[in-house]
Amino acid sequence: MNEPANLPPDAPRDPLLDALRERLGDYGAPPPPGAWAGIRQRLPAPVLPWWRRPRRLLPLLALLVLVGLSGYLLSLSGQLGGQPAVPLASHPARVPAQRLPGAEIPDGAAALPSTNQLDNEPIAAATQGTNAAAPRVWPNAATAPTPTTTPSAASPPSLAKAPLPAATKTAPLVAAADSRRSKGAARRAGTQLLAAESLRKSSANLHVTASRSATSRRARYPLATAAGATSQLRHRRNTVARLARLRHHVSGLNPQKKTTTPNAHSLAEPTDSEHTKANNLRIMAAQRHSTRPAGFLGSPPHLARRTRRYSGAAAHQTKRSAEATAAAESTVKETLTPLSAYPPWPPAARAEAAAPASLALHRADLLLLPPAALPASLATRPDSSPPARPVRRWALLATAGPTLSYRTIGAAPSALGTRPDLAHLERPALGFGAQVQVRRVLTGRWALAVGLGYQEYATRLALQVHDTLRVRQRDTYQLLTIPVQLSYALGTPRGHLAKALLLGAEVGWYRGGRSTEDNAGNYQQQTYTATATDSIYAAKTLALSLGFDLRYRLGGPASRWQWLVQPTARYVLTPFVQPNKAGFSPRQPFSLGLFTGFSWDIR
Amino acid sequence: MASATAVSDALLTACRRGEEAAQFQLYNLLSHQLMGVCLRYCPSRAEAEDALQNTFVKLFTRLDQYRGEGPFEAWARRVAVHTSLHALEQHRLRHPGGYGPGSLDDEATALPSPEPSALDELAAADLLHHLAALPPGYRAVLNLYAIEGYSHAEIAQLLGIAEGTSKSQLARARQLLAQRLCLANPKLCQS
Repeated sequence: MNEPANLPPDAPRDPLLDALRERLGDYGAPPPPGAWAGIRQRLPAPVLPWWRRPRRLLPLLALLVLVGLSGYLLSLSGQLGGQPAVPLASHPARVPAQRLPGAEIPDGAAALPSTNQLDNEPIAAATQGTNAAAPRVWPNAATAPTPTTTPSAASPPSLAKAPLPAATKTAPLVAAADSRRSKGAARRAGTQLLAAESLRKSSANLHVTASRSATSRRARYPLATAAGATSQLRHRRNTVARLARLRHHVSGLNPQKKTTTPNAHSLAEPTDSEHTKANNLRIMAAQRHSTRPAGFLGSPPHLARRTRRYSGAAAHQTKRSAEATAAAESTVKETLTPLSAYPPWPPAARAEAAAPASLALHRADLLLLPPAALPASLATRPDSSPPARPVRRWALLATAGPTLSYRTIGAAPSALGTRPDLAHLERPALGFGAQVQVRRVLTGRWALAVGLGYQEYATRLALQVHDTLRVRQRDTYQLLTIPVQLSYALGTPRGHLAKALLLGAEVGWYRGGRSTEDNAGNYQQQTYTATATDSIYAAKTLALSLGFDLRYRLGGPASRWQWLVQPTARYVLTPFVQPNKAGFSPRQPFSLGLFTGFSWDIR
Repeated sequence: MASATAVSDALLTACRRGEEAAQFQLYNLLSHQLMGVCLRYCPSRAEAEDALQNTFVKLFTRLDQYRGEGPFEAWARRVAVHTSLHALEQHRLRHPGGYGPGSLDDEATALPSPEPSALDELAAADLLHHLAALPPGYRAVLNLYAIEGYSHAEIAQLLGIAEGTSKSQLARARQLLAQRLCLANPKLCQS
């Protein structure tokens, strides 16, 4: 005889025990037919992917809200995209009528000048007649009216007429508001109609009054029909509630059924899970007793009695519930003559109403289930401890990507006098960012990343100073940064994907840039360097960042490479313009960036 | 006791995600073997079926506790043994005083032991039937020691008894089983 595989170390050889081990070691028996159904019923719901779990979506939603809010704020300021040029004429300040050295002549509609360079060629104002006498900026360079077709071209523009475009905008706004109101009313009416329609389908015992003429009437008079629909909805709710009360009352009249008959609501609306659980319990009990051999390890009498008792209780409950429902329905039919005009319940609804609430089955189900706790000895075994954390804590990150940057701006400086403040006419522009970081996983879900970065905030300026004079600039602010980012992992990594929230701070050093300045009507771009002593921008800044970190592990679980996508928002907290610089509006740049790159696990 | 089944990592991963098809596949792979384990420990088939259900519920809900050290079948078998012992303990609490060896020892003390080779002629179901007729405490110790391969120290820790108790119960269980086999099949002891 061969040596048994799992002989205890302190076991003397015992032929009988060896024979027993050989015969029964691999012994198996077919499981009962209903076992899998019972197991499946007790298992928790499948683990949903992260994008289907609301809690996991919260950071993403927060980011979307952040982006949406930023866009909304930008659109409120009236300077977000779509308008390539800002009309200086609508600005409260007056622009002197003079030749503008810092301007360029557009060469037809398609030939737009460079966005970075200001063409300093002067324009011969005399060639433009009276229109050139004062700078006039049209809302849109592409749709700027020609001197021969524009009403303003017939009469020279003046400051008194400057608000006219705004006034003409008011009328469409009022019309749009009216349109929105009527659309909103139609939407509300549609929602109410849908609710009424849904109730009509689910009740199945109420009459239908909708008709084609009503439908067309709804389309023509949404508010009026919505009120009608609301009235119908209320009427149907009252009817259903009255039916339920009557059923409950009728079932309560029978003293034998008073304590056990479920209420009208549970009679009318048993859930599918209750049906399934009750059916499964009955099927399992029947299968267990039918498949159990009579003479083999006979079932204890108490267990058989208990199961029979529960099955009998369930059947009795079903019978009594059906009787109660039938009595309620018959009484309703007899006592409510007007309701007889309604169509009868369809068979499906009647069968659903006749199903038991199966409260007793729930109790039986709970009693039949043995406790699921592990014995203490198993719970304390070494293999019961949670999986160990990954050993690679250090990683090197390199990310870069575009940013959409803008700024919040303070009040225009009083030193400008009557001239417009160009800073208030800026619009968002695409910037750029990059950073290299070393990341270390701290305890639990937290990780810290520190590195070196580069951020370029940008704004753009597009002015139609004159119908032949267009100014387009892209102002930039370049910062060298030391980003410190704390990340919090959202859930455990599943497969290749891991997610985290990012919260960070960045110390930045101004390294130069360009900004357009109004030098007595001469719109020129001033270039600053890191060592310029006359720079109007603060040398050091502090910014906060908030983002989302998505990681996808490339290759197998042992791979060190991860692909990163980090949508991140940044906001400069400290004053960006030096406080002692008069004539410049205070500004706080911010950006929304989509960084992407790679991470390499060091050790 | 090498198992013929092979549970792949992919199957376990799918089970961790809660995929019903994978869980059913794992159930089909292991249910036959684990039902045999539960039958050897539980006092009745009904309770063995309940223990089997509890075993699989534990397997599926605590799958993260399996760290891949050793075959999954062995881990599942260990869970089944512990679940069955828990069911046995619950049964003992519901029926106190029903587990003494009583007169079983006395009625068969005079009979000889069967020849081990003669056990080959006995069907496994019959052998299991005789095993089931032993007092549950004896049967648990005999199963744990002779079939699962636990040491007396492990059995003592698992059942909360002294190590000496485990040894004495094993000896009495062996003697009782041998005598029952001889009583039921005198031919086993004649050779």
